[in-house]
Amino acid sequence: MEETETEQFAQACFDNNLYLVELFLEQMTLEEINYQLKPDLVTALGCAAYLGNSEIISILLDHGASPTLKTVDGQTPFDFAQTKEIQQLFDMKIDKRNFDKFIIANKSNQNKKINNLQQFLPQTSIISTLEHLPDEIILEIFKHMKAIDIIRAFFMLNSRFNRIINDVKLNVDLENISKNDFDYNCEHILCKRYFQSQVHFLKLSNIGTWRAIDTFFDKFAIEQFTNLTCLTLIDSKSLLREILESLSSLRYLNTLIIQESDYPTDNTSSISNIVISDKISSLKKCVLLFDELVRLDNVSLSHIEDLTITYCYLHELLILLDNVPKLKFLTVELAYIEDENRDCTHLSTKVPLLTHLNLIKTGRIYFEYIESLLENLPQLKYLSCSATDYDFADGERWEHTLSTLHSLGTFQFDLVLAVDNDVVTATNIISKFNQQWPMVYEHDEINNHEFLYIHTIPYPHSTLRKSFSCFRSANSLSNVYDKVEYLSHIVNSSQIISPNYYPNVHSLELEDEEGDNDILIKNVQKSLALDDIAKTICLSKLKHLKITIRLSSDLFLQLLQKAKNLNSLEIPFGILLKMTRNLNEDTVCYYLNKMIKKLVLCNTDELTVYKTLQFINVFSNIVHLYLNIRTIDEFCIITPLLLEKLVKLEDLQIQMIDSNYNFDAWLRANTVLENFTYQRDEYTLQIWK
Amino acid sequence: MATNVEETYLYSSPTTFKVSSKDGEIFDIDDSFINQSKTIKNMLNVLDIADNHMPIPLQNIKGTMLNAAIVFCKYHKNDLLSIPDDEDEDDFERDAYEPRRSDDISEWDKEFIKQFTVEEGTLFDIIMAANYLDIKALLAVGCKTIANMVRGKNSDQVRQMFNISYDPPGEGLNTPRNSVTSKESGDNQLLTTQEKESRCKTPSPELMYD
Repeated sequence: MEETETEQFAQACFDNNLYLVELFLEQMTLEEINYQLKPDLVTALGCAAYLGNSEIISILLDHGASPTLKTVDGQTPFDFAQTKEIQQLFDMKIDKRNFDKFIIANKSNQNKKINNLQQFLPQTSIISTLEHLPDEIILEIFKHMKAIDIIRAFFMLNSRFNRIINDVKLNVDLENISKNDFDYNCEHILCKRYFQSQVHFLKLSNIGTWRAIDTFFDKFAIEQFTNLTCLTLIDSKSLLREILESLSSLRYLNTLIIQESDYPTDNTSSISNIVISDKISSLKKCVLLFDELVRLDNVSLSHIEDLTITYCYLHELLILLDNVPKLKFLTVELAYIEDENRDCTHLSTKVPLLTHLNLIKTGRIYFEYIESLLENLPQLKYLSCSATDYDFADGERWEHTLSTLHSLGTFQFDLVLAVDNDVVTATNIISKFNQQWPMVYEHDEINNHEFLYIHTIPYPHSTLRKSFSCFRSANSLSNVYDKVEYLSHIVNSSQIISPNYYPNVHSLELEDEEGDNDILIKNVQKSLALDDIAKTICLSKLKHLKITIRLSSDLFLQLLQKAKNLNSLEIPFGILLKMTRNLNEDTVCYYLNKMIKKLVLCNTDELTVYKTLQFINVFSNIVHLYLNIRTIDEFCIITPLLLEKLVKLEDLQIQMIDSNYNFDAWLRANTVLENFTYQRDEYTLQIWK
Repeated sequence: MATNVEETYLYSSPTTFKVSSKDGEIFDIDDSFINQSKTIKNMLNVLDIADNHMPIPLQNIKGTMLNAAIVFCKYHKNDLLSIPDDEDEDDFERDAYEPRRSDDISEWDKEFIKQFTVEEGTLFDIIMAANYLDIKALLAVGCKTIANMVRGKNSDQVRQMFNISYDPPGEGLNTPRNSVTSKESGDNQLLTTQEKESRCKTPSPELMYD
């Protein structure tokens, strides 16, 4: 073919002349289709892509036109694509090329299947199918799904699903995922320019997915996700500051959730300077979960409606409240400095919309401060308060304070008191709250200390720590503990009463009374029977079990058999060995192998070389593994074995017990790790694969 | 909250209404249904039906689905007490900024939804019924169930699971597999050796966006 003809062909592509293009294509070789015109070296596909002639693009790609041939300026036909639709068309056709290859390989099978389907179609046409659902419902289904599940399951099925996917607000959740799924998210969603603007929710975590946040920011800049509305960051550590500084470019970001454990104190004030200082102007909801005190000096949040802070100074919070006129929901853990200003007057005019107040752990503050805070917020509709101090136990003062809150519709209260010989008359406290806020009290004895629990009904929190001999004032009430999901039960020597039933617990800890787990001096806990546990929780809902006391082997086996959905176990290795006769009890090991996906070997019992192969055998299906190793020599033998043999492993944490170790040399020498990400300090190595 | 409870009881009249399904079955509905189905609630407001002997025709819904929806609403009637009235709609907005979940279906709802299947198409029927009647809780349970079914699946598995169609030949972006295969194999026969080689040289798609 002459050069002029290839030019004419490109012209036809440019002009969207479908007829001419098809005519040309009939006699063109692939080389001619991909001819790069002088002087720019643009191809016919580039021309069509530039003008967005979708039909022509489609035909050219079907004929094998290359989307990657670069012009003089280094631009590919794909780069010329101006709209989302055209970019997607490219992606689809390219994916289809791979797909077709697959089809040819499986040709005979597939044809049979399609024929079968067609046979059935006439008779089954009255049966509703997924595709009968209107777009709005499909969209509704997608709203409940994470981005990876939508894209992997529905993208490229047909053009209708693709069109609906175009309208979805994508939820990219990178917490608790395998390296594989993380890479899938990066490659198939986050990398695609047309999906980037659809990412509305983004959750990043470094826990279990070690260094995932660093990896994410190596590949992407947060500004690329222009429509991001909700961002969650868990343990971003040293990167946090940098990330926060880049957020001001996101115009639609309205929810920011930051969770940090052991973040350096000096830095929290600079963090709050960024988050709580109107630098992110669209922000409406902000959750700051720090282990450290959050400093709130020099702050203002003119648009915020929902704020959670753990924990901060009362006087600084009061200054903050001067500058948050739209605040509706406040959840806060308070601390105070003796001499600072605590003037709460006119609070109701400063935050007129504040109707929901949740005071968590008020152990660092006097009740009188809370009193004056509440009396200046008469508009409250919802109040929740947790306390552990005696001055919070004054029913009369509570009665007076609550009487000033005329709009209060919900009041949740829970009080834990250590009863040291004092006789606190719980009934007296409770009676003062009248019938309007019914309460119960419980009496418990742990380590020879008596505890008194007083709380509104139902118990307001999801976590609870009790002993089995706990006594409750009123047994007839049902649904008191419906909200409890994490239960820590102390197994003590006194008689087991356990009158309480916690129907929704999915995480149970069986704890030793002394908190002392030395198995050498602890006898088998014989008094506890399966029945006692089955009366306390619904075993089929149990997912996580932590045991720090040695149960009888029989009970342990019964637990594994009854708790069908159990998949996570936290246990000192020594106790596990005792309860499984050194991993030789076949039935127990069978259940452990089948059920347990996450194993945390807590305390300081170490895995030895001698036990490793047997351990690998029993836990061959493990996905998350946390363990201890004593010596460096053992580490060098055990670690490669674990990485090689435990094929389902995604997350491995190894803690050195006796000696610190510079892992670097080992890491360099072991090429196995090339595809994994990892982080380490002196004592710990965390691997994510 | 205590006052809300009282109000609900005050306004709840013992009156029941009758509804008829597409296939002519007639059901009695009470407050539990009317309060949860926005469609019926609006209908009653507009129609102002004093005489409750005439069944309200619901032409889009099969009797079996209507019956199931009524059972669902009876069980969930008390949920309404915890849902704030219009004035308190802030409570809903509170989570609006965060993504929705699908792993929070209650035990009862899980059992309830088990009676509907993909094979018989009833799962989609109940979802469409919930949508038509505008019963939010039921629609959510149905949607979450499908979301849970496809989690972790790839598009081939989903296509098979739900018999999802291809775009018609020549239309859209995605042609049926059999026509593609015949075309491809035909092409291969016609290609000269030289052309085959050049075809192989086409850059692999994996390298595309580097």
